[in-house]
Amino acid sequence: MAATANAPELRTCATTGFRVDESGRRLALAYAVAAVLMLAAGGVMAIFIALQRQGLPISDDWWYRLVASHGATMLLFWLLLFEVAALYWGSTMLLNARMRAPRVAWGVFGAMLLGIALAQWAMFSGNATVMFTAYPPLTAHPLYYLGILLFAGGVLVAICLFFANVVMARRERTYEGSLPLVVYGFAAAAIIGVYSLLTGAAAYLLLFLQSVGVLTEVDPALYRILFWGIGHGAQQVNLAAMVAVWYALIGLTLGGRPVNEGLSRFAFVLLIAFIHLGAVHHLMVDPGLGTSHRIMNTSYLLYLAVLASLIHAFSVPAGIEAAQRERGIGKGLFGWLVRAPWREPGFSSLVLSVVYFGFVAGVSGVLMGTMQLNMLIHNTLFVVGHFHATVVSGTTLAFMGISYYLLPLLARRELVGTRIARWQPYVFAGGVALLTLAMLAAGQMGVPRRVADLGYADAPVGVTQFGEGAVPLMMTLVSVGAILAVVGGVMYVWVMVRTLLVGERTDAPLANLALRFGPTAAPPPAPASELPHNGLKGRWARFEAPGTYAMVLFFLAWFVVLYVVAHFNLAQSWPVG
Amino acid sequence: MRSNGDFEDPGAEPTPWPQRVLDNLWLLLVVSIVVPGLLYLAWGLWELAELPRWAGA
Ligand code: HEM
Ligand SMILES: [Cu+2]
Repeated sequence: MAATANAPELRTCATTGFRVDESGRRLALAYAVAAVLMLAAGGVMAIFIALQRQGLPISDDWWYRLVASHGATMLLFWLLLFEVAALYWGSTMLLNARMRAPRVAWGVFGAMLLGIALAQWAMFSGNATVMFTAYPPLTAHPLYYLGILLFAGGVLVAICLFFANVVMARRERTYEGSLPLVVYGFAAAAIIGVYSLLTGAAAYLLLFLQSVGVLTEVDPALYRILFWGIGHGAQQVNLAAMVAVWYALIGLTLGGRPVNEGLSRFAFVLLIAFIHLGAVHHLMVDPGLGTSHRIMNTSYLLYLAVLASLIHAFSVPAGIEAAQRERGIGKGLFGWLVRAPWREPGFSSLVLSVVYFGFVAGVSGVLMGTMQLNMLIHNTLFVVGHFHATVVSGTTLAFMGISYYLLPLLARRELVGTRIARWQPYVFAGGVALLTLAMLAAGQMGVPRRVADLGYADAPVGVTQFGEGAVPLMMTLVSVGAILAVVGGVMYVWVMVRTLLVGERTDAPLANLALRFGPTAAPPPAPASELPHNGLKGRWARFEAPGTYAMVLFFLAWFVVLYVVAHFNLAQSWPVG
Repeated sequence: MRSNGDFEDPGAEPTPWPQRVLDNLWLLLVVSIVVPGLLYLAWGLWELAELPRWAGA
């Protein structure tokens, strides 16, 4: 029992059986709470942005301030704060290990909060309406750049502390063999984060130096190449962290794990090696970069990373299916899915996140990464529809799902509002689905993003096309979806805040969590020499996860259909011959 | 469990090399910086540097 000898002060979690380090627990909790508050703030802004289209009286000036802050608050602050919480949780509790340098970690937390405050002040006071892309020659107040730099630097130090925790845990032998898969996924996210943060810091440093007069100008083309290192890279940190959370949710809600763990690990390595190259898909219409550079990076090489995402996306249903079949739950092709724990918020958000991420976010992303198709939708609402499908219905929903377990475990309080929690993933996912599909459709019709007035009243030539045809209907659906999504967001924040404030404080196993994991969970069935018969005939009877296999075939067909539709659209806009 | 103090169990099977590669986080960190550093950044910056400069009006 090396763990006990080396770390006598660790407490044993009554619910999961893991050994818990107090400072690691407190830090993870602080980051998670700060993240949830950011999500709440970003959601308030979202409703104003979306309802301005329906006549909510907001000046154009304020609309841009709100869009700028909504983007930074959600994409940078909510997601990265939650990810740091996950890194600290994964590298201490999941490894039965201690938190290294907790004082440094708290100092970094303070610096990150200061960074957020500076950036928010600049954006809300109208001193930094540059949007989070901040392309020069747009300029903002120096404190805006400084704020973002402080925040990003803080994440980088947090990543270093994560590695310190992992290395020391290995040295103290608090875990045996390879890292557990979930922690491995977090490590992949941390690794992907290093390059992202370095390029991002370089880009923002140039702008900061210019804003204080040290540099006279920053070359826009150079800036864009550097910026998309983080603009794209940070999304891949989100991707890796989301996949790790998917695997964690399979374990927590079903006691299952991926069918082939080695393959899942290999997929993480493919992401680490190749996903950053996709950054060029943001520069498809940039002058200066040659065609070979763009096509090589966004097509041939990037498909290796797409392969990784596909491996993960189907490892998850296969893991669910195998866990269910092992327990003999559900016969036939999809009985395991029908009889799954749909009332468990961790499970429903897992499935909704995987399905939506695969079918809408991933496919629309690969389409947009095709040079010719990109020309059609660049800077339209299609782009916004795509990334709300990825970071909202994918990452955000997965993070919400794991919060229902993580926050009670970290706060040692019972979950309050299980009934609301049960419905929340469906409401949120439904709203975001409507929001994103309407945005994708509006973008197809040419509706631009980041434009407050679609009638262009101030322009020398008025634009009427966005008041005609199906566009107003789509913009109405965007607003309806936004309202539903925000209702789902409020439900989530409500449950979290109530759990933290009034949840019963206890050191006994948490009773409101339905975990199939840890000492309190029902033990898994004894490993049988043969799996229970899946009830299928012919060759299907031999498959371990026949339902998942059928889904893969269906997904490929869906991909082909979308590709044909997209190229049909292309042929319509550029007739050949 | 058969234990041999602080050292690997000599009776245990050696870790297969692919697993050792996947477990080597430092190697993966280097790969994650070198691959995009060359193919995206260096190549991209080189292309920008190759652009003819506008002489000015
Ligand atoms: C709660 C539901 C949400 C709604 C209703 C919503 C709605 C919107 C709308 C209407 C826009 C402006 C589109 C335009 O340019 O015309 C926008 C922009 C954006 N949203 Fe959201 N959003 C939501 C949640 C999120 C979340 C959770 C994230 C990230 C995790 C996010 C990230 C962004 C980003 C990065 C932008 C772009 C800002 C820019 O152009 O600089 N949103 N959102
Ligand atoms: Cu990207």
